[in-house]
This record gives sequence, structure tokens and C-alpha cells, in this order.
Amino acid sequence: MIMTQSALDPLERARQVAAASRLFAAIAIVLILLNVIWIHGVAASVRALASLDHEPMLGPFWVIGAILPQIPLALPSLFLIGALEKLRDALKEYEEGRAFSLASAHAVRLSGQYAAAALIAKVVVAPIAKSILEGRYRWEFSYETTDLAWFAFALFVFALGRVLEAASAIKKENDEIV
Amino acid sequence: MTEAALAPLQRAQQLAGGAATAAVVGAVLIALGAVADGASPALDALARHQVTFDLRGLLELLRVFGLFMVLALPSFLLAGALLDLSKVLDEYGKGHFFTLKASAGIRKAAEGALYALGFKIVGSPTIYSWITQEGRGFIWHFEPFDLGLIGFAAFVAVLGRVLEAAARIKAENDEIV
Repeated sequence: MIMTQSALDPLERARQVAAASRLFAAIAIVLILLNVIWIHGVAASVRALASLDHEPMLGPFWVIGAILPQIPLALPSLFLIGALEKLRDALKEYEEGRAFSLASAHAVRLSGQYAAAALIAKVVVAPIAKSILEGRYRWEFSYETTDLAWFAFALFVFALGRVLEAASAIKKENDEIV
Repeated sequence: MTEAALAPLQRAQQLAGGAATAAVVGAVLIALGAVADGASPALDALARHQVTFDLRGLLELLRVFGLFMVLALPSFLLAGALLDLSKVLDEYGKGHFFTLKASAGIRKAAEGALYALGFKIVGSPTIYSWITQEGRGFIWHFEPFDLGLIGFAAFVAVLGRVLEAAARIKAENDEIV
């Protein structure tokens, strides 16, 4: 019985850490979103409005035309927000003591997928979009050595999500039999 | 139905075996990349300040090596985290999904990644500026994307903790049975 208590304590601690991490993930989402709005929304609009003084004939569509191409540049951050949002879903399940539910496993898998997509967007999509926007029209990549590790991490979380999904399906089936 | 439920687990087991090797290759590539990135500023510093065969030269050599280590440390830490992940994948490849070893490996890998981010954002830039005497304060090289990665790595650490606790309970149950 004492052993069981000692085994349960880490699970209780993990639940507390999950609650704190969920709050951190929410703060991270807000900060990343504010950054996206500032760089790709406000700053792009200001630039477009400034150029509007010189070319008044183009009208407000020029502003829309200036902001729309910013979307591929914002994709890495948007995908990362998606990954963090899925993490929050999984952490909520953990916080409520449902560590091995199908919902939490599904959220883990999706989080890995979004994180991998964010890294692909950071390394490939955003640099190519930038090169097109700046009129260079070249295949450009923005690659750091550490991106490879983060990509491996994202794939690992995706694979772990699949394992947990399979485990929770087996658990559900066992529960049904019992 | 059980067969259908077990099939993804078997597929994951097969994939994990290959992924463990890929993780080791990734770790080696990252370490080599870090050496290549860090060596050129260190070599530049060596070229500018000629190393002499006296105490001053030795100190200069130590300074240059310190610079290299400071620049390369985040990547080395990430490479270490990948090696931890490869051990976890190796366990998965053997079909040991919910063992204490595999779960602790996930937590360790995530903690390694968090340390790497800590060094990348504040540790390395600050120590670099102290060694090069460009500044004495704390320097931050922080991007919002890094914040997302911190959240992601922290979550993997939490996941590792949850799995570790579950593996402990499972081990205890197995002992009782």
C-alpha cells in the first residue's frame, strides 16, 4: 500500500506540472499571436499605407494585396500555435487524470504533426515566399543545424501519439471485455 | 478487434527500429554542424591573435576553445537529447513501450532540449559577450518561435513524467500479481 502511494505521487506531481504547463502554453500562444499580428499585420499594413501615398490610384486593394502575401511568412508561427493549442488539449486531459484517453493520444499526435509542419514551413515555405515577395524568385531555404533536431522531436511526438492511440484503443477494448 | 488494435502498435515497433538509427545519424550531423559553425569564429580568433608558446599563448588557446564550446554547446545539448530519443526508440523497437527506461528517456530528452534552448537564448550569447569582453550584462537572443519550442519541449517533459509514473504503477502491479 505504501508502495502504491509512492507510485501515485509522481502521477499527482505530473498532474500539477501539466496544469502549470497548460498555463505556460496559453501565454506562449498569446505572445506568438501578438508577434504575428504585429509583424505580418500591423507592420505590413503600415508599409502598404506608406506606399499608398505615392500610388494613390491603387486604392485600398493595395493594402490587402500587401497583407495577403504575408500569410506564408506567418505560417511557421501559425502552425506552432496549432501545435501548442493541441498540447493544451492533451494537458487538460492529463490535468483531469485521463492520461491514457483516446482524446489525449489524438491531441499528442496532432501536436507532433503541427510542430513538424511548422518546421517545414520555417525551413522551406517561408524563405521561398520571402524570395518571391522580394522579387528574387529563387529556391531559398533557411536552415539551422538545430532545426533537424526539432524536426526529429516533432516526428517522435507524432509517433508517440500513434503508440498512445493504439494503447488507449487496446485499453478501451479490455475495459469493454471486463 | 484486438488484432486490429495491436496492428498500429506493431507498425510503431517496426518504425521505431529504423527511427532509432535515424536519430543517431541526426545527432552526429548536428554535432558535426555545430563543430563547423563554431570552428570558423574560433579559427578567426586564432588567426587574429597569434598563439605563442608561453602562458599568454596558452590562455589565448583556452579562450578560443571556450568561445568554440560556448557557440557549439546548444547544438551539442540537442544532439545529446537526440541520442536519448534514439534510446527510447530502441526500447520501442523491442516492443517495450511503457517501461520505466523508455519513459525516463523521453523526460531526459525533453529536459536536454530545454537546456539547449536556455543556452541558445541566454546562456551562449551572454557567456560569449563576457569572453569577448564586448559586454558584461545579460544578452537575450529571443524569437517568438523559440517560445513555441520551449512550450513543445516542456510538454514532452510532462508527457515523459506522466509515462514514468504510469510505468512505475504498472511495475508495481506486475510485482503484486
